[in-house]
Amino acid sequence: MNENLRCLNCDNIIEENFCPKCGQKASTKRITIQGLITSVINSLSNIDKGFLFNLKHLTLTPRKTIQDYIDGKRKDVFKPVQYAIIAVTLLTLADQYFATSVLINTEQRHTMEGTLLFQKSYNYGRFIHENLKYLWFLNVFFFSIPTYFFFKRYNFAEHLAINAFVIGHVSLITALALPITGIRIVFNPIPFVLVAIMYMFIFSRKRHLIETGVISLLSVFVGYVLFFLVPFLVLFPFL
Amino acid sequence: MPQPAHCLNCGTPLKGKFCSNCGQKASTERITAASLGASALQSIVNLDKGFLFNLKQLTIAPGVTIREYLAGKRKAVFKPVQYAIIAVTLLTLADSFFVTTAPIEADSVENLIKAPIFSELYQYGRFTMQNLKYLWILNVFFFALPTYWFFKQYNFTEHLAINAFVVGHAALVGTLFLPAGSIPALVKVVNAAPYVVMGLMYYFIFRPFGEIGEAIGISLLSVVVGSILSFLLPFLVLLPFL
Repeated sequence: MNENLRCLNCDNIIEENFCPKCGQKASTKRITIQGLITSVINSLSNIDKGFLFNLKHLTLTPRKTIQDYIDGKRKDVFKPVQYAIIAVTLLTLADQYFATSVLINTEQRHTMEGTLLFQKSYNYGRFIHENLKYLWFLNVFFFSIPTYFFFKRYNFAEHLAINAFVIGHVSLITALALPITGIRIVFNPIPFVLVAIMYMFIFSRKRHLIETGVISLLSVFVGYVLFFLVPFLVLFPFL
Repeated sequence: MPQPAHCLNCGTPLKGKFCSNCGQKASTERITAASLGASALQSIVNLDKGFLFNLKQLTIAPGVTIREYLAGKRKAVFKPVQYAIIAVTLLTLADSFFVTTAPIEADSVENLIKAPIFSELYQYGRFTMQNLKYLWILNVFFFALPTYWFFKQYNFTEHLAINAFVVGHAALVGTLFLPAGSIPALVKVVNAAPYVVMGLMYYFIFRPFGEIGEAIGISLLSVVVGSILSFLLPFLVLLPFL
């Protein structure tokens, strides 16, 4: 490799891959068309760094990846909040293109129509539909509340990071499955089942498997209820 | 600051603020609510790194900043293409809020309507309005052509980087000028602002490579040729479809 002896950014002496003073890559070169193309191809195909690193490692070894991230092994990992934002964007896009509308039982609807709660709930449903992207992202916060209460090993900020990984990852998998399943997000059980499975992998301890399983399911249930209830109660006067 | 002796990412012994093997920060800490808040705040207010670094440096020292970026001093700089994309997005957002339509004289419209390509030009104007964001980004390419022809010190990719900085910065300055466009007398000033900024930046970037007169002339010429190309090339490409 034709590396520089001195950092081109701060002129510090470089002995290895990165400048120990400012962190710039030792292999910084002149900008050329070839260099541009290589770096674009690298960033799109490199499975050991960035977005694809998360997709691979959160699928194969979610517990180790997240534990390592929390312990400080963060360089190759795509940051959790950014991961969640991109995944949720892809999910809402996939939902627009591939999901089919759900049929409503008209008889049931007739008996409910006219009540105040029906009107409010109907408006809330519209609101969720129109703002799904932002609301779905709030799941990171709503699911952090139960996991923080049940799994005391981590502080709340770490639970936010964990749930950004989890919500991001299940959103991505749900988005990939949407062309086949075609189920609208709000009625789609897949992400919530996947969240429970990921919790079991991430939080499980030896000889406490059943306990972890129950708490994982409970966390998903509480998170799901919070996700629907909290925005509804906040918005209730405006609906 | 308490700093671990070995990199938390790869275990290499640490000698400075960054791991010399993998590049992770030596000061990596446990994630807390305070550290989250601090890092968010830092990335927004830090003038010595990222987006605000560019805004500051490209205003007070465009020539030095861009020449040093090309020479390899890149760590603190916000990448040129990302800078241009964000700046142009801000410009088009501001443009949709502060309308700066110049009043058109009825007489000139009468004459124009009779002109042979009026309808094509009108369609193209609509198209430009609707796709302003993407067309503005293309300016990076259209202005890189004349600067590459006139200033041979850099290869074409480097000229693309230079013009991403220049177009991005001109778009940002244009954004700041836009509210003044609500005053009719200032509409022309507002519309000209980005191009004036581009000409000035070219002068400061390329000044060390030749005579003063040469630098001034060629900077002006680049802006004129780039403007013509950015209007003409998309029009010619789209003409059959208008």
